Amino acid sequence: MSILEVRNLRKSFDGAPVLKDVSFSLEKGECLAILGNSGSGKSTCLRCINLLERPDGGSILFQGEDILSRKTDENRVRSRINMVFQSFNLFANMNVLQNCMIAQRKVLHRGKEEAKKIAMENLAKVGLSDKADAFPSTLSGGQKQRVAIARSLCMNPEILLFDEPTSALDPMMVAEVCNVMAKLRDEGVTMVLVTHQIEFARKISSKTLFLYSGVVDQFGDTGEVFAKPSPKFAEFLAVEKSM
Amino acid sequence: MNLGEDIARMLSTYWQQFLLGLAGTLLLSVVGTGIGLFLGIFIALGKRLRPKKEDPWYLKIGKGFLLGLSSTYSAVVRGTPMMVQALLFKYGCMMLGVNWNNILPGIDVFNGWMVAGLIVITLNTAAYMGEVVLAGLNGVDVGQTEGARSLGLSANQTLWSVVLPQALRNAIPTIGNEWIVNIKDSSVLNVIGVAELYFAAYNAANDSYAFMASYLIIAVIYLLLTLLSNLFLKVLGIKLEGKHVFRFFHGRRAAA
Repeated sequence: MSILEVRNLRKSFDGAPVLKDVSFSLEKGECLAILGNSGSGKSTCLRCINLLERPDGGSILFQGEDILSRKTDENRVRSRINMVFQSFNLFANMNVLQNCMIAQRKVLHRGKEEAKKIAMENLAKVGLSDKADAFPSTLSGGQKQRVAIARSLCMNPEILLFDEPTSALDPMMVAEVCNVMAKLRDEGVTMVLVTHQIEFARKISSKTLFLYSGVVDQFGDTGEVFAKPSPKFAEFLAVEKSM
Repeated sequence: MNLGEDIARMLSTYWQQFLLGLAGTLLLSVVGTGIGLFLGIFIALGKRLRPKKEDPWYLKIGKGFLLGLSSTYSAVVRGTPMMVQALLFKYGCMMLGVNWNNILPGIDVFNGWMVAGLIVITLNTAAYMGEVVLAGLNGVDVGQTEGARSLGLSANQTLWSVVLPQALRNAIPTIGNEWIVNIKDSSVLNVIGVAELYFAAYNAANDSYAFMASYLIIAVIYLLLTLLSNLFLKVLGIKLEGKHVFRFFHGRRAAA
């Protein structure tokens, strides 16, 4: 059984269709890269999987369970499928350690000591043990994003969604964050990545999906997709390369 | 008679009344602002309710009712003078058989009318605080909510642990402003006999016929109170800023 199966997903905003018909599936331990032009629906697709947006139609099966069903506890689903944002979204009123502990305490009901231990382990994993007491406003962009990743890892999510995690960062910081993500891939964390860093996506992902104005244009193993790009994907790659 | 002598005479004769009046004014402004802020949070939450298409019918009705209630309350209270509200409260209570004169009788400042005054100023402040908190909540970046929800925190947990603390932090200058307004505007409560600073000066003036001196004294006291309050708020603001505790647009700024 696939860990995630998206079928015929549709979503429009104020009558303007963003996702027209999106289907794909993902196995445990895989890393899926979603590529596409701005406005092609990449982020909307991720936000639907995290239930930040309600799709208009289609279904999303997570471990075989339809998470769009009315009976689904969406908070439980979100705690299993975490999201890392372009703008980090660290809680400004809490320090790094508190950022990493709050969901563990309130959602997973872990004890204080346990939550702290897990938070420190994950901060060590992203190389930020020394920043536990710092407030988000004092961190660099790359550090913020690594804290955001550690915060999600503390929840032991089944799937981690990355919504353009490096788009707000300068090249040095991009490298920091990419290294952390490569490490997670090697550890077998299931990931879905929306990015404009095509070379990085190609390196890290096992599957690639190319979205073109709300429709899946190409989907398959990353090696194959890049070796035999569809006409639209080839054009996309050429434009991105010339930048 | 010259004014300087008058002032000296008033201070030596009526200093106790002025001091009690000052205590009354401080009590009214602090309690009114504090509890008003607490109630204002719920008014703001009420005004933020939006019945959604997918809500079941009872939620739609409930949300619509609370939205209407908080909006109406806010509009009516902010649209009428506190002096009129105090009188309506006084005579409304009398119609219902409650006379605040008979509650805590024979006590100097903290009598029944002070209790009535505290209720009026609190209910009045709550309406303004509702707007203050609402603006604060709307000013918190939506990413903070999304970050919390994406980790599995419920809407309530997100509000109380993440969004509201930041909203209140950002609203501190405006909340302080409301407090200063309350220091001055509590004077209108004398119409129902609340023993605050103006009430003390009014009585002392009528007693001694030194009108100018009496009102000059309380004008200076009001001014000192508001200047000191401003200073306190400024220090508080610097303290919070210096700790880098909140920089609430940090996400948006970094993303730009």
